[in-house]
Amino acid sequence: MENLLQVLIYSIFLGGIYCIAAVGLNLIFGVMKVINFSHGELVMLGAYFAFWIWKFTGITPYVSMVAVFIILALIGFLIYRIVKKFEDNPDFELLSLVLTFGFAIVVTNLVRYFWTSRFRGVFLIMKSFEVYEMTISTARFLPFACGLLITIALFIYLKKSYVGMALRAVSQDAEAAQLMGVSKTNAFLISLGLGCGLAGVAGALFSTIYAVYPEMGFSFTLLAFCIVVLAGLGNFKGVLIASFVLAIAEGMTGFALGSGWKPFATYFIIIIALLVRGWYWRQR
Amino acid sequence: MEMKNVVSIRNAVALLILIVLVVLPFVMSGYVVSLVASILAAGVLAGSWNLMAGFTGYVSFGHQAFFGLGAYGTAILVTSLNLGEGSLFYSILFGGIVSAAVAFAFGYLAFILRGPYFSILTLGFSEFLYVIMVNTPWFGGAEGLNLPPVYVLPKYYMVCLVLFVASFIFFYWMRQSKFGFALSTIRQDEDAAESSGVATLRYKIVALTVSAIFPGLIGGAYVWYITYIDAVAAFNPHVAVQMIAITMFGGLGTVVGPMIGAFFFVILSELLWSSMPELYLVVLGITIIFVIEFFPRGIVVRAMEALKTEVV
Repeated sequence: MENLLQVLIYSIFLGGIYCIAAVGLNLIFGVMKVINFSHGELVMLGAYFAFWIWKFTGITPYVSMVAVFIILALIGFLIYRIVKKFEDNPDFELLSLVLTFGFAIVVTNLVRYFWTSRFRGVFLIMKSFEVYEMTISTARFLPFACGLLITIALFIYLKKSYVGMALRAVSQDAEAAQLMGVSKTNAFLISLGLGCGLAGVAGALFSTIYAVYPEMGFSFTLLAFCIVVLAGLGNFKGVLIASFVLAIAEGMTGFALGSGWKPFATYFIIIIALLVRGWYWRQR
Repeated sequence: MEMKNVVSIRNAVALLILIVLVVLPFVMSGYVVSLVASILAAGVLAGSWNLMAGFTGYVSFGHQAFFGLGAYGTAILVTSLNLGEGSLFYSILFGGIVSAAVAFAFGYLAFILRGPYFSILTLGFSEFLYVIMVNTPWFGGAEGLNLPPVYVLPKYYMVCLVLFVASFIFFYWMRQSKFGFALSTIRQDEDAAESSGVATLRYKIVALTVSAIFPGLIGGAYVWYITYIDAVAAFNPHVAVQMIAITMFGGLGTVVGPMIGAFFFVILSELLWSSMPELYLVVLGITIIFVIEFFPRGIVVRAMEALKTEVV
């Protein structure tokens, strides 16, 4: 019973990291209608940058994630350069998918070539604290707290600020927003910068608890996709709920059936959620 | 007059290519034969994906599932009944039927969705199958399944060639058929098609089933060729992404696009692989980006426009 509770709590903590990764993907998809297939690779890059900064200077990822955010945002602008040409193409979704896939291959293999496939990780020595006779490691709690805070800050930013309003306007109807004087290019740049930067932050937080290696990106891409779909494309509050639902379902399935079955829960929920959603639409 | 000339030249070229492909295994080395076999297989896979994405407008991210189902169907039949090399064609056919049957059932559920939701559902479906295969001992678990170690390269080549020609003839016929027109109306405006009396669901399910048979058969043949299958190889998302890249390379929604795309893509991979093994995927990724940047509709469409011929 105690173990189960422990698994539950750590799953919730992991959900906080999933949340930032997925919220970035959702922002990019919502505003640009781009399927960023390299999103997981950006998480991986963020994790590596955080690791190298820690390795050479000793600065913890909690501080260096600001730098990681900026670097990844610049990479986001690079992605914009790549997909920009096809903004008005009717096949934009597909073309951007293939382009970002090409980008993902390049990134993964450059990382493998220069930094090798060794498992890396940031080791921070932290005390654990006790809540209701449960020992909780601070090292696992901090990424969750950061993730939650950043996600909530992003919600408030999107809800209250002028830029956030412009982004939401573009995601609802790009043409109408342009007629109201919102620059589509700026909206795209901001959403890609924010989305990719947040992917980097997710990676930086991830590096403090789990192993970092070049191939970790793809599973993150899949996971972020699943969360975004479960939440509904462009729905931000849903992302928060969906990340925790998926993280808990994964943790519980792993606890009950063994860690190999973990992804089973994710995909099962996705398939059921999509079918129910489709059935519901059909009824209306 | 000019158009007629172009058509007859095209037919002559097609015939020449066919003759070369038939004669090839008798005169060339094993390496060339296996390379051409992988071009043919990649062409069939990409063409099948193109049937859904290019002709019907439903982008599947999970087409590797049908390849994997065919591979597993064949492998399970062979290993559980202890069959030998004589069963090669029947067991491959069985793989294709398994794949088509699953696609048929999946279609009934999946076509409730459209657009990106459909795409993610296909990806989720494929990963779902992967998790089941890799964790269930009956399917070989993480170790996979071993087939009798026989040398079947000539037969593998033959199966790939037959499937290549069959899929080419099918797609070529389809363009001008009622079936092809129905798919094309679905791609352009599904609601309009449905209200004009096109039985969209039925056509979509038939299209998905057909686009699953070919990868299933290729998967079955592939298992015999490498004599081994595990879930990682069978349900690898990179199989689907390769189908997508090849089709975009050649030309989405064209008949010859995926086939010519496969030729360039496989040759390019092979050249890069042999000249710089460490960086080959980096260069491949950069090449994909550049080709899409400069020929977003595919190299074949571009070439046909330059030659002023009808886009096939």
